[in-house]
Amino acid sequence: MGAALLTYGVARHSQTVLLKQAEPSAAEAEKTLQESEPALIREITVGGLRRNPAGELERTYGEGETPSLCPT
Amino acid sequence: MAAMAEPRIRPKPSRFVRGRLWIQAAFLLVWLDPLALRLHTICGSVYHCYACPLALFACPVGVLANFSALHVVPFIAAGTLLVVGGLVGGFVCGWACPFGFLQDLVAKVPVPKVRLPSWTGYFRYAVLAGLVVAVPFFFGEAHPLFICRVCPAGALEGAVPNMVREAAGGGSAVSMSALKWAVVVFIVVAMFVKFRPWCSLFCPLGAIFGVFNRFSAVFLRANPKKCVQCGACRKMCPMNLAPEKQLSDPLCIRCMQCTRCEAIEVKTAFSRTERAEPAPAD
Repeated sequence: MGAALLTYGVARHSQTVLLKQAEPSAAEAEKTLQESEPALIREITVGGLRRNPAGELERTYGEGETPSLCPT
Repeated sequence: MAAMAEPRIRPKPSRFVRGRLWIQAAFLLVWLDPLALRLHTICGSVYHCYACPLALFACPVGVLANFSALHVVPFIAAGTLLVVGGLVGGFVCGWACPFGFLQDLVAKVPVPKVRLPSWTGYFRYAVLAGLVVAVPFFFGEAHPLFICRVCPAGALEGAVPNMVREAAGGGSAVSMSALKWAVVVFIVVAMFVKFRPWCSLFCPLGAIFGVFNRFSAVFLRANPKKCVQCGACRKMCPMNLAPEKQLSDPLCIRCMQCTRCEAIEVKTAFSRTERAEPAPAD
């Protein structure tokens, strides 16, 4: 069962993540990225993800920036 | 009627058990990522903070808590813990965990140690359910009781080195919260007067692996033909267990000190041996 969960997480599981935009405009559609679970794990180790008030996953840093929110 | 033979108590643990600190040190070397690989897409299986400047894998407790905060199912972390726990259970705590290793080293300081009843180990499940799952899920990662915000391993391995690095670089070091400082000071002081205080009272990862002590492929067994319930193994157990009856106890870190008694044996799922332990003597 553990191997099955591990395999599913590595090979299949992914989540849609909103990318942070410098100046979000209403006209421009929100950019999203489909991130695999290993990528999500790497993101959380640097405090790079949060859940926004709408319940969506959102990056805490924009393009060209580095994440600054360390959970420790 | 022939009297049951007394089990032989070895004068000291086997060479393998005596070398446990060296094996822990070897694992530490791996976790410290000497090749700077930073494989943080992989969930580790020991309590080693990924905020540490030297961390090879992601901390499984941090992954569980953050995924709970994000309302995402942590398939990889759950799968990793099931696989590793199913194979070796509490051996991870006793032989591979770097924070356990630190506590073992501090415990070498010759100070009289407090022994708490083994039921206090169930408090770890409150930490697991509360600080790792419920608080992150309902209040998010910003809550002051989010596990990473109070974790002493994260403080000693990640936050303190980062503060020192920032201060040494002339930057403004961001200090930890007062609560986290209090937890760190409490745990560090407790390390001197209690064997493995974090593991035995609070560790959520030890709580998970402890469950597998009953099912893991590698396990300890008291041979009912050799055990005479003399209680010698109780005096050897640093976790204050009664090994002849509690070899599957979630608190057991598999340090194997009790294997000085020849009635207690290491077995694997491939051994033709029943897991059942002897019934307590009347």
